[in-house]
Order: sequence, then C-alpha cells, then structure tokens
Amino acid sequence: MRRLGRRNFVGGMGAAALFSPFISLLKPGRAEAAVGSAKYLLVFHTTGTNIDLWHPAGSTNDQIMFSEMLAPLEPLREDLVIIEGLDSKGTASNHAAPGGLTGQTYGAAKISLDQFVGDKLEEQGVSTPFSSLIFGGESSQEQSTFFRDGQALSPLFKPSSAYSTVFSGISGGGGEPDAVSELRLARRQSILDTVTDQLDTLSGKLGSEERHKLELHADSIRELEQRLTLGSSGGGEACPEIPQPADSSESLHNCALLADMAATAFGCDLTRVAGIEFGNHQATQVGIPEIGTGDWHQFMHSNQMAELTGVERFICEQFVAVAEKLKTLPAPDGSGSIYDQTLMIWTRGMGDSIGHSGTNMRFVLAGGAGGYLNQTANGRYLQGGGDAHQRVLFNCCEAMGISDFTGFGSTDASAGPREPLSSIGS
Amino acid sequence: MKTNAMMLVAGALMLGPAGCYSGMSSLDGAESDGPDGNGPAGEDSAESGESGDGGETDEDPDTGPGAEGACVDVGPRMLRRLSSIQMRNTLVSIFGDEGVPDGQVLTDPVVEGFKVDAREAVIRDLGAQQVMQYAETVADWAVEEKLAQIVPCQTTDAACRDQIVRELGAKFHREPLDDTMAAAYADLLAAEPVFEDGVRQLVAGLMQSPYFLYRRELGDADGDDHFVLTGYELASNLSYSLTGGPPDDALLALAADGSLRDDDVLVAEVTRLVQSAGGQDNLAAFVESWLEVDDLPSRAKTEEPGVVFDAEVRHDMLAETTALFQHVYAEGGPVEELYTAEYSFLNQRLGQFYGIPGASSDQLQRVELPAEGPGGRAVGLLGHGSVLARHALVDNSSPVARGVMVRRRLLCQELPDPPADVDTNLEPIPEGVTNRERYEQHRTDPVCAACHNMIDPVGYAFEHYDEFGLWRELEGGQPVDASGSLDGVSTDAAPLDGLDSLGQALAETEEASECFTHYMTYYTYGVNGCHPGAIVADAGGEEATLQSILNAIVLSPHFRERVLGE
Repeated sequence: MRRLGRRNFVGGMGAAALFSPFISLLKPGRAEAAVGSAKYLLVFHTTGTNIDLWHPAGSTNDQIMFSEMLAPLEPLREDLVIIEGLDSKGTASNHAAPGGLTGQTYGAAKISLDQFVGDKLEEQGVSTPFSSLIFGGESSQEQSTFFRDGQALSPLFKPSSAYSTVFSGISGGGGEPDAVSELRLARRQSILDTVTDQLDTLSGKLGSEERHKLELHADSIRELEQRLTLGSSGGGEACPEIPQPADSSESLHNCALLADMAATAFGCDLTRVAGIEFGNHQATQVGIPEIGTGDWHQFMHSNQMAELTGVERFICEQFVAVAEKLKTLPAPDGSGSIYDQTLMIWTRGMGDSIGHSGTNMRFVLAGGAGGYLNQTANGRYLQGGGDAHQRVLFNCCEAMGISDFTGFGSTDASAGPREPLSSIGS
Repeated sequence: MKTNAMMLVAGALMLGPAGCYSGMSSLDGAESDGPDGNGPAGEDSAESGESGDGGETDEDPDTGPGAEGACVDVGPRMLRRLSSIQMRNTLVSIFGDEGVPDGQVLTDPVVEGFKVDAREAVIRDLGAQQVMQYAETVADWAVEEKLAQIVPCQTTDAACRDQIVRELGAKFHREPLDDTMAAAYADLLAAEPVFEDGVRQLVAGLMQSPYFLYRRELGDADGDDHFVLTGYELASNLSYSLTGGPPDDALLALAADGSLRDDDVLVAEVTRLVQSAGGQDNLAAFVESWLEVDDLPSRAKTEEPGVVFDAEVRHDMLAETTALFQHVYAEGGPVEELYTAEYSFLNQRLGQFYGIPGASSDQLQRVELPAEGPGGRAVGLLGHGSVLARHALVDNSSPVARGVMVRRRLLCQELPDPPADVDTNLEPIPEGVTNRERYEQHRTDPVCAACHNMIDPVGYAFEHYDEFGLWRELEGGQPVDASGSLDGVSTDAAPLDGLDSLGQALAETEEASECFTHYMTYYTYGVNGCHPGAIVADAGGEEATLQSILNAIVLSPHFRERVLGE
C-alpha cells in the first residue's frame, strides 16, 4: 500500500481553497480544491494521422464536437483544449523528423520538451530521483522523438525492464532492514568507483569528440549514484507495491502499461515529467482484435481507415485512463489530486502522415495543469492559423512555470515569435 | 574505373539536397553522419499506398555529403560500445552457456539501416543503472550456476584472488589485465569475507567495466599523433565485426604473439572467421539489412485467395537471399554475380510458391532458374521474393518503393523528399487502370518529375512481380508493361524491359560495386571512413570479389591505425 510519507495529504475539499489565489482561474467543478505548486508534465507522442478523419468538424471555441477518432476523449471533455492548424515549419514533415517535441530539424543541437522541462524543474529546486522518464517507441527502429544535445534518446520500451529500472532498481523494495540496504549500497558504490576510475583512464586517451561518449557514461553513473544515495537515505515517497508487469507482444499494449507506470511514478514522486511514445514512425505492428492486424504505418498508406481509427481511439482511451488514474492520486501539496497539477499533452511527430507533411500539426491538451489551461465546460477547440507548432510547446513550458525558453525550440525567423499562444493559457 | 566518383561527389555538393541527379552522394566516404545519426534511415524505402511515396532519405538533409575521404585517412582513437547481440554473445562465450540471463539493457540505434553505429551507441541517462542491474542479475546466476567453471581456485588468499581476477578479467576485457587493473578488481574480492560474495562482486564489476562494454581502438603510439592497433584490439575488432562475438582462443593467440598484425595472417583469419557459424550469421545479417528485407516476417499483406504467404514462406525467402549471398562470397564471386546469378537456393515450399521446379525437400538446394517469364524467374537478388515482397505495398507492387530501393541501397544515390507542400496522395486506383498509368501522374507534374523520372522508370522493370513476389502477366486487367530505363549512372542509360535487364544493367555499373562496398565498409567500421572507390581499387578494381572487398576493408589503414582525433 501507498504510504504518504512525510507529506500530508489534506483530504476532502478544504476551506483553505476559498483563499486560493488561483480560484478565479478555475472552472466551477475544480474551484474548491486548493491547487498545490508541484507541477507535472505527461506527454503522449505519436506519429501523424489522417487529418480529415481526425478533425473534430463543427467544433467551436466553446464546444468540441468529437470525430469518431476522438470520441473516447469524451470523459475529459471539460478539461480538453484541442488545437489544429499549426505549422511545424519544416521540422516534422517526414519519417523520423525530430520536430514534434523539439521544434527543430535534423542536425540541430536540439532538446525535446520533456528533457527541457525536466532540467528547468531541477533548476527550480525540484529534486526527484529521475528528472524525467521516457517510455515506449520501438526497439527495432531509429529513435526520433526524445532528444538531448541533438542526440536521440532511447526510451524504456519493455514494461518489465522499465519496471525494474524505475521501481526496483534503487531500493530492494519496502520493509528491508537498513543493514541490508547499506551493504548493497556499499558494494554498488565500490564497483562504480572502480568503473569511474577506468573511464577516467580511457578518457585520457581520446580526442574530445570521442571523450564525449565516455562523459555521457560517467554522467549516467553520477546520476545513478545520486539516486542510490537518495534511495538509501529514505528520501522520496514510498511507492506502492505494484506487480511486475508482463511484457506483451503488442507494442500498443506495452505502451498502455508504460503510461500507467508513468502515472504511478508521479504518484510516488519519482519524477515530475514523463513521456510515452506510442509506436514509432514506421515499424509498429498491430494485432489487437478490436483494432485489426497489420502495420500502423500501412494503415495510413493503404487506406485502412477502420484500423487507423482503431489505433487512434485506443490511444485516446489510454489518455483517458492515465487521467483517471492521476485523479485518484492525492497531490503532495494542495488539496486536490495530482491530475489537478498535471498538464497532459498529446503531441505528434507529423501532421498529415499520409502526405508526410508537417504543415497541419495538432495537439490535445488536458489535465488540471495547476489552472493554467483556458478550459470551458464543453471543451475548447482552437485553430492555429499556421502559427508555429512550437508555440504550443512554449505553452507547456509556461504551464510548468518556465518563462525563459532559451535553448529550446527553433530561433529561425520563419518560426515566428518565440512566445506561447495566448489562446491556450488562461 | 570508368568515372571519377569524386567528381560526382563534388557535383552533389554544388547541387545540394534539393536536386535529383545529385550523384553518389552517399558514397562521399567522409565521416559525414550527422550529430543525430537519426535522419530517416531508409528503414523503409517506400510503401505509401495511396501516396506513391512520401520519401525517406538515407541521410540527414542537413549534413549531406562531406569532403571525400580515402582509406589512407584513418579515424580517431575510439571506443565502440558492444551491440546488444554482441554483449549477449560475449557472455555466452565467457560462461559457455546459452542459459545466461537475458538483459536487453542496451539499445542499438539504427543508422543507414544497420545497428552497428560506432557513434550513436552509447551508455547514457538510465543506461548505467540498467547495466548495473543486469550485471547483478548475471552475477547472481553465475555464482549460483557456474562458480566451479569460472574460478580456478576457491580460497580467500591473495594468490587465489589474483589468479581469479586475471583469468576472469582477461575474458571480460578480451586482453590480459595490467597490474593496476588486476589490483583494483582484487580489492573487490578482498572486501568480501564470504568467497561467493566476492565472486559475485567481481562478476558484477567486470560487467560494468568499460573494458567489457566497449571495444577499444586506441593502439600503441607509432610516431606523433599516430597509433597502430594492438594485437588484442585487432583481434576484438575482427571478431566482433565479422562474427558478432568475442575473439576465440586461436585469435587471441595470434594477438598475443603479435602475428595478427601481419597482412597474410590477418587475411587468413578473415577467411576462417567468415566461414565460422558466427561469420555466416553475420553475412546474413548484413545482406538482410543492406537490402532492407529483415522485417519481411512482420510486413502486412492483404490476403489473396490461393496465395499462401505465411511465416514459413517469408522465412524461406530470407533464407534464399542469405544463401545466395553466402554462396557468392564463398565461391569468390564478384558483386555482379549478386545481380546476375542464373540460379538460386530454394526448398520445395518456396519452389512451389514461385512455381519453379527442382527443389524436393525442406532443405534449400541450388536450382537453375528457368528464364524470366511465366514459370521462370529473374536472375540475381532482384528476383528474390524477399526483395520483391518487402519493397511493395500491402496490396500491390510499388514501382516507387522498388525504384527508391535501387537508387538508395544498390546505387547509393541520394533522393530528396517530396517538397513539403506537395500533396503526394495519388487518386484511388480506378478499375482497369494499371499501376503504371497511375504513377504516370508523377511524370506530368514537373515538381514530381525531377525525382520520379529517376525512380519510376527503374521501378517499372519490376512490374511483372506482384506484392508477394509472384509473376503476373496482367495488372489491372491489362498486360504488364515492364519497360523502363536506368540512367543517372556512369554507364550509358540502359533501356529496360523486365527485371533481368535491370539486373544486367546494374551489374555493368561501377556504382553498384562501389555502393555495395560503401555499405560493407560502414557495416565493418561502424563509421563512414573510406571512399568505397579506394577500397574497390585495393580489392582489384574490376576483378574485385566479395572476398577481396572485405579483405581490403580489413587491410586498410582505417581498420588498423588511428590518430588522436579532435
């Protein structure tokens, strides 16, 4: 069972909420909860779609009319902000184009939203074992979604391995005597010391470009050591004992498990930022009765629109499931749930994936987002009017309390103002 | 050597990525992979059903071709992280047991269609933790299951410790430990009062060591800023590059006495290693990635009555391609043979699928192919079901997918993507209209025509073969027109009619052998380090064979020498 640890959860809707400075920004339904200051970002990422079938025709500023593809989002209607018609400015117009979460194209020393926000939260003093966690993708394919220093990052794609990395890698699990965990820490530390010495020796023999590879390795060890120390000193929330998940042969089912794991990780404060990449741009095979059998990529190109709709609806369902789970997790501060303090966003690596174009990008945003989103009771639908899609990424930063976007996104004049869209934030 | 490929490269530099006919820009040979290494990697040449082809390029558009390199230019001292399969093969070899726990803690970035990239494969972020946890799992298993086999003694005195450390350490490091290193490991053992705990610590430590996780290309200093790889480094690189596994005892012995630095010994070892089971697997992995057919087993196809395109047939198709490649290599054949072999390797099932007699059992056997036509088959790799079915749509052939595959994978020509504002969706196919008529739209629109004039006329030559790789006389109710042309190569533009003619035309270009060499070089080095033309020249020019090309790759200074690097 979950232990609440040092942080107190104030149950119910407290009178303190009446004094919340955020109250005027909140919708009636949420107005009674005092929103805490901890902020969370949860990113879903997929490739593009059939934009005609996806388009929620008839939607307005104050009312979303769901297309069949989007219909499973209905339970989140009042929290949704959907925006289309944004331009990737050439950064998301092809397979494995990196612009979706970076706003930048090949070659640039880009960083994806999740990494940037994780770093910034750390600068703000947030100290969680993982500054961010990335999941999903296809192990058999080049990575093209999450980036740091221009280099593509490898998400945790197997639920079993993600589980052991995130939940059981540091501590041996609850209820272990201190002496046991101290001995394990000492053993691990002495090995890591030896390894670090060896890395130093090897680094001295390399030019700077090659040395960089070993610096990444050494950084990875340093971060591990920090987590080990944090874990053994009893820091962080205790995590619930969740059973080790079984890996599925279905990539989409694995992603669903990983998304659930991300929510669990938020619940015990292992991280504040998580991203889940559903599939990859070309290699994702599907064999799920309610969707069909085949290749997600081929669904788009072979006019298998029933199957493509099935995939889109499946991901909508996972989006809702994660939201519902976050609603059950009490916030570490404030009096609501973690959902109230989470910005959920579904981004894409392409716009029209059938035409391989990034001129019509779309986002689905949800979550309480600490009151940041400009939401309405029937859901908000916006047209981007060809603005750069990275402006919505700036909105995400802003929602996370970040106002300095230096180092993130494109600075090309063609990408327009480096400002969030005013229509999304409240 | 008929044309100067360098001139083509220069042309590409001037034209930039926007133009077609940019020549052999993938052959620049310089280490031009972008900082991402993650531009669209031609993982999937093209199979957009309604769209013709969205287009995927092999290289980052930004980075494009760089300055030409030649094999006399050697790369920087570097480390290459083991791939996940190499790591597994190494552990299986060390413990002599396939039962060693599986980890899958390393991910292998796909670059240029292969999983061998030396720059992109790193350990970062959660990587060290994943390696640590896996190391602990393997260490537990090793002490539980393998203790007696892996330690030469079981006492807790210093002499035994030293013996254990040096014996086990040499296996993990693939070279003898120096005294400092041995002492550090011995400390891990000495810190544990219980013997088994000490061995557990040692195994966990060795598995996290960079000397286990990375292959080293550092070398001994040989003049200013110039290094010659040590015998052990050569042994490791040779073994991992050619067999996917660690050096065996024979190779280590040649490393120890220094004889591996000798050209003749090195070539003899290449021959021996390629013939080994690991070497044959490695050739298979290469050809499947090169031709982008490795994911054939999972490609979706719309079912068609009377066509059994099941897992077994798909497997047979890959086996056919692998067998032809291994055969041509073993027989000392040239690259041209891959395109013109009038025989193939079929079992009964695949023979029946193709409608070709001569194979009578489950085992692949050599079959002479009847001439292309009904009841016959095109010569060479291009007539293989693997290539034809993989480079096709779910429910039809794709002249674009096939044409793009030829240009990018067989000729190493760069094709830019369609401009962003072009609607690449083709109209749905009306009754009675052939694929070819449908794709003619590309040729009438000048925006599309620049590239599709290169792509489609090559792809049309495949049109007698449907999405399963089966021969057809009719398409869309009309007789198939498989005429086309191959231009943009050093030979005169060749008129094509059918796949045999394309195979012959490719065999006559020098681009085909240079392009093969480009991919083989990258596959061996993990970086683009040599101009393939230089390798082909070293391999005997027009007399080059698959064997002599691989030998030249291994004998080149790039494989054996290093500079400090930036």
